[in-house]
Amino acid sequence: MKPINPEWYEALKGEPLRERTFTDALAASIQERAARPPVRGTASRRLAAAGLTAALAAASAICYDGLLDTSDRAGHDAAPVQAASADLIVGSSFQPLPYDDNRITVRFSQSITDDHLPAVEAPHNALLERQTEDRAKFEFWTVRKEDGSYVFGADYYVKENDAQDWQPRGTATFTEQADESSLSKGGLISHSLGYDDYTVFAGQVLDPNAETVRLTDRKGNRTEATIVRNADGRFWVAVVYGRPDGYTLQALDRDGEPLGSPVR
Amino acid sequence: MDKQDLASLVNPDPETLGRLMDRYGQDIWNYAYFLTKNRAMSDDIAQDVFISAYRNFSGFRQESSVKTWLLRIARNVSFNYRNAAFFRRALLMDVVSPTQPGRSAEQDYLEREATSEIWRSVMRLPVKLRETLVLHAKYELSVAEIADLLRIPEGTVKSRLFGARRRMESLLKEEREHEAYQS
Repeated sequence: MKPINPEWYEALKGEPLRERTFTDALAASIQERAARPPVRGTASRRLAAAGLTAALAAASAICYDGLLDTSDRAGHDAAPVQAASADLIVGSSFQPLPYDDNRITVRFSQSITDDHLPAVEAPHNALLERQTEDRAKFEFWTVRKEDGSYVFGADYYVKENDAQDWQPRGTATFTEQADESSLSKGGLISHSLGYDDYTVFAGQVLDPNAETVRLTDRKGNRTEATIVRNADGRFWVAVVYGRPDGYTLQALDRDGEPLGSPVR
Repeated sequence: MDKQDLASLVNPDPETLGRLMDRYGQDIWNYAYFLTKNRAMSDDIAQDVFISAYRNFSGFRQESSVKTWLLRIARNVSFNYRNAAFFRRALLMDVVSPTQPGRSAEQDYLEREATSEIWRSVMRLPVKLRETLVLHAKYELSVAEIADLLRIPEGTVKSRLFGARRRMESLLKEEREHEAYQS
């Protein structure tokens, strides 16, 4: 028997806000953007929030980028995961964050937001395979580019219904630009990718003394990242369920001693 | 805008994009807002969703409705924006430690602009319950469609719906008591 919906359900068929928020201006802006050829390389969007700008100005300059890209290679209605692209540049050039040699630096690179990511087609260096469920897995890989930048990729596969074969559902990538590597000396470079209900945290391990990378959520649950090396370098990867909103990242040396201060 | 209409497109078509936005623009913006509770981010997400759809018309294979296809894109994009927002926050907290007491501008906006107390209560639900509830009540997706969109078992959808309704009853009761006290 179908359950009867509560009386307030009917009110939820209407609009949540008084004003129309998908405005004509927004639609026009989308049309204008659609008319332009896809941008290859850096996609930038200034973050408009004044408070954020002020905070960033106070923090010197930060270049930040979100991450994702995908190619729908599955042939299903897999939703392409777009880059959450946003960079903010205060001043005319990139400046390093105030840097503490004992701190693990968490920072973010430019991401490629083109719909047809060249790196996806390039030869990959396999990094790691991680099965998240009986019927879902990630395959991680990297591609080192001539300028020293690298692309970190995560291919997501599922076994649909009764199928026994893995079917690709999408690819998410981030790109670490070589020319910004001065910001990350002595630490870890961190990124995240989201696909389905999983979040992948990953980055390059630059500190040779780092033997363990640990993520701790607000409840104290720990996730040990896998550190793996391939021809492109040494990387750490952690896959967690959901979209954790708050965690501590800590690198440990071979004796389990923390390297620098944890980053929250 | 029907499925065949969209699936037949091999090349991007501005007219179809326009029709897509006319039909689903506000729904997609709302969905992003339900997930992020942030207007600026919802603007950006809505942009990315339609650009992504526009460039991937040919990837639409009619295995879902146009609405659920767009919702799926919106969900992916939203999560990535939320992750990005988290990292911005983490980075800023680390550097400037801005602890802001009191309500945010977004909370004030919602308090002012929400069309009803029911919607205000919905926005107070945890995101998983909120998302499941609005997909069912506002977007009128079936339990099976929600399960497919969220990639969770149908039993989990039902459980979240049950939890969302129970929390809503509690929030609405709280609100009624508050109003009675005020008067």
